[in-house]
Order: sequence, then structure tokens, then C-alpha cells
Amino acid sequence: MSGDDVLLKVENLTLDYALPRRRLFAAPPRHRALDDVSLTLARGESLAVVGESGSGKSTLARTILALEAPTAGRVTLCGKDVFAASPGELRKLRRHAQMVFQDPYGSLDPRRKVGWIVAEPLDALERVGRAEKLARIAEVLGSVGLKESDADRFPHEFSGGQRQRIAIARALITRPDLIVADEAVSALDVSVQAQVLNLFMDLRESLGLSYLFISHDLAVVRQVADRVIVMRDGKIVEEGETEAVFGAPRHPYTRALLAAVPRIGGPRRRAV
Amino acid sequence: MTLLSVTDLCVTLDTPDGPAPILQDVSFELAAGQSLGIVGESGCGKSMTALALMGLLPAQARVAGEIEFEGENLLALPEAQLCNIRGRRLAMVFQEPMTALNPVKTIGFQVAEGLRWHLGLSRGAAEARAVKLLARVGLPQPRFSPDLYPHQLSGGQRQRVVIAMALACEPALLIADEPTTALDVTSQAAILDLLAEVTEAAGLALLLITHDLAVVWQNTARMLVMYAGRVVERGATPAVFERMAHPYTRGLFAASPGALEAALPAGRRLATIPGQVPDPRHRPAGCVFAGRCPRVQDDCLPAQPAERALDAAHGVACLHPCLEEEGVP
Repeated sequence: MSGDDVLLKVENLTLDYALPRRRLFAAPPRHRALDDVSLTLARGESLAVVGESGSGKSTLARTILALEAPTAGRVTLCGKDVFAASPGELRKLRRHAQMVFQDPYGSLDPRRKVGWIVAEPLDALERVGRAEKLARIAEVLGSVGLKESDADRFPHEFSGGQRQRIAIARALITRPDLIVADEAVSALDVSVQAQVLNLFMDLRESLGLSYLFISHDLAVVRQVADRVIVMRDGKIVEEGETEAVFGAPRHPYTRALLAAVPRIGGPRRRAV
Repeated sequence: MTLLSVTDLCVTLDTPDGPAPILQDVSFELAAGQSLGIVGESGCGKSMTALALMGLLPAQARVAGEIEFEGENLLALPEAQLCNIRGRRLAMVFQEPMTALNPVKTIGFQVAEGLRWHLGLSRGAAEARAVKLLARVGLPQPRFSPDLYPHQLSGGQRQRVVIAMALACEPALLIADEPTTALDVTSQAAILDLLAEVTEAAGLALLLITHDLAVVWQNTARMLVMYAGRVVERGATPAVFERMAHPYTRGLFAASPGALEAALPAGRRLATIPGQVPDPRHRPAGCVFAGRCPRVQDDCLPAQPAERALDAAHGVACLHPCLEEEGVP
């Protein structure tokens, strides 16, 4: 991989959280949420981080987006060190990476119209004129399959799947290179989940986006990711091409995870 | 022997915009010791069915039809008698183990509560039984003292406590509403193993409600597919999966990423069901699925198709059911 192709580089990232103090004069105990995590994401690539709750996968996503400060290690986005950047530089960098959250009900302000919600990152990160802003809102609503007129409606008028489209539109408005999707489809019903997954695949082709999918759902990951990283207790236990990891998992933990997924046509527990 | 028989169950909620039929003509039977799965997406009425069985529907709900459980019509019973059945003969495991447990009571107290209430056991006797029940669900002493509080346990361990509570009074029917949806995949497998093991050992009937087709496949002998408040397909679980006669069942299957054996080739997309579940206040007159159905024809629109038998073990509410040999879309 040449330097230009690398969009995101994470090197030896470690993050400790301080736990409540046990003794007055001793240092508080610490919990290591990320333990020496390194990964690389190429432009246009789709990488998934899988693991169970508490594995550190969401902490990793939040740290990559500079929402948490690491104890040690480096995150380089578009060739710039995120944690060495000045506040102004960081603001510019944030334009390149946007996040889509799990809960399409909790992540949209119910008192704001869709147009305002979608344009918020633009207001925060870039200065654009009113005409340009309206054009960008129409553009991103169009690219996620919503109508321009939906900008004047409120989130409660939309179904869960449509709300997740609004959240994706909000992530797209700064024309980012990287979308971090933290369990972005796990709150959705199966048929709607498939629509949103297809939208992710379409956008990748049309806009050349890179994805970092954070997910506990291995079946979903298999459909959307080129490469997979399996995390456990803050460490990477296995990493590889998606089909290689699913077809021939090497680490016992990965094998246990895959074996636990219920499969139609697989063994059954009850006959009566 | 029929343990539970639900006949033409209708539940209507009055909303400011008029009545919303949540369940329409839901009928099914469950024999003692058998397992039945109900599968469907949000809003299909599967949880409402469970709440109706438990007599826990919201106050503004209007209920019609019959729920016969061990020879008594639950809908006609006064609340006091229902209280004697609920928790004793009929037990429920909820989705969210953290909200199902009381955070300020110990797990031992919560498992013992039903024993003291329903069976009149003394505190000491109930707590001794509670310790045995906790061991039964995989929380043995001394690691899992009955004096622990829910926040000291993981999600899977909490769900084990909820199962111990449900098993406490040796009920005849266990209703599990999305019991593993809030859990990690490895905890899910462990909890489903436990549910299958304890229900089979005790000859307990199991009503398993889930949105996950694979969970239904694994854990139930018979299944119902619900859509927009109606049962659209039913039968022995292997028979339903073999044919998937209702276009909705087929659509649900095709849209599940877990149904695929490998990754889709580049450029291919997952199958989807276009549109969304109709609002209960404005359901169409004809087949509830007609608006999203790839096989819809003119005769689907005037009236909801009645359920018909495809064979002894398989029924479908569709005028133009899919044949087995047709591929999944």
C-alpha cells in the first residue's frame, strides 16, 4: 500500500479509563479499553470491527473520530496526526470522517426539521452560503433516496429506516472520505436493514467512500466488509480478508463467535 | 393435550385518530410440552399477542376472542384470579433483563418472590429453593450468591436470573419475548441452550417470540409468521422453511443476511421488501401484504384472504402462495 492510498492509520492505540477510586491515597484502578490496537484502512476500502459488548470496538471508533483522547498511540487521517493537530486543523480534519450511530430515534433532534439536522455538520465545520447549503441538502437527501421536500419535515414523521437514511445524509453532507458506522443497522427490522445495507453499498460505488463498520452481527459484516478485525477485551485477536476469516477462522475466539451464530438449515434444538 | 388455545383474538387500541386494530383474528393452539415460535418484524403484533396472553395489555386496549389456558378463558377471568395464574402456571421472560429485574432487590429475593407469593413458602424455604433454581440456570453457589444485585451480573447472567424467576413455580407455559435480542451472540447461544434444556426437562411448553428466522428454526417445532397483526403462515418449522409459501415469509428470508451462505458477488445487492408495514389505523381492505407483494393480483385487493391448508402441517393466508421449487427472489 503506498502512502497515498492510506486513508486511515491507527498505530498502537491504547486507551485507559480511570475506575472509581478504591483507596484514598492510592492511584485509582484503570481499565484498559484499547490495548495496542493498530490498523490501516485504504481509500475505498470497507473494514469491519466485530466483537462482543465490552470488546472495545465502539471505543476504537470514538477514538478514531477524536471523541476520546487515547492514553498512547497515534491516529493518522488523510496523512495528518489527529491528536497532534491544532483545534483549527482538527476541525478541518473532521470534515473527512463522519459517523452514523445505532439508534435512529436517539440520534436525531426531534425539535429540528430534517434540513437543519442534515446541514448541522456543514454549519459546524465549513462556511458555505445559503444557496450552496440548500443545494448540498438536496444533493445528500437525493443520494440516500429521500425527497428534497423532506427537508421541511420533522424526524417523527419518518420510519426507522428512513431516519437512518437521514442520519446517513447528515454524515454525507461534508463530502467525507470515511464513514464510521457504529451498529448502524442493528436497531432496524430485517427488511429495512437490507435496504440500508444496500444503500451503504450503493454509496460506496457512487461516491468512493471508505467504511469502518462497528458491528456485533457477523452475517451483516460478511455482506459489507472487505476485511474484518475481531476484537476481544480491547485487543485485536484476528484480522484478515472477510471470506478468509469466515471460511477458515484461525483464532479459537473467532471460531466460537462464528459457531454461536444461529443458521437456518443448521442444527436444531427442539423437535417438539 | 391442548394447553393453550387462542381463538379469533382481536386487540384494538383507541388512538386520537381513531381505532387501531393491533391484532386481527389470531388463532393458534399449543399442546403441553410443545414449542411454538412467532416470528415477524416490529409492529406485526407478536409482542401484543404475548401481552394479551399474560393479561398485561394497556388499559385502553379492547380485546375480543378467546384465550383458553388449562380449561379457563383468561379473557373472562377477574384480575384476582389472573394473578394466581400469571407467574404460577404462565410465566414470561422479557427481552431486556435489566429492566425486568428490580435493581434494588437481591437476585435471591427476586427468584424467591414468586414462591412466597404463589406457593406461600416461608422466607427461609423460598430462599433455599431460590438457591437451587439459580444453580439450575447455571448460577451456582458460591460464585453466584443469592445476595448479589442485578448490576453485579452480566447481561447473559441477568437473563439467567429472569429464567430462574420464570421457572420458580413450575409453570406449564413459558412465554419468551425476544429473550436474547439484547445479548451478545455467544450469550444468546448459551441462553437458548438453557431454555431448550429446562423446558424439555420439565415438560414445559415454550412460546418463543423473535424477529430472527434462524432462532425460530433452531428452537421451535412449530411456527407462526405474523404480519400487520395477522398470522400469514403457520406450520411445522421445517415444512414452513422448506416451502415458504407466503411471499412475506420468503421476502423476510431473502432479506436476512444470515440466510446467505457466503458474501454476495460484487455489485449484487441484498433482496429487500419494498415499502413498509401499513399503519394500523389505515390498513388496506384487502390482503395486508398486497401493497408490498411482488405477486399481487387483482383478486388480492377486495378482502383479506382466508387461511387455507397446504397440507396437514402447513397453512397460509395467501391466494397465490409460492411453490417450493420457485427460487427465493
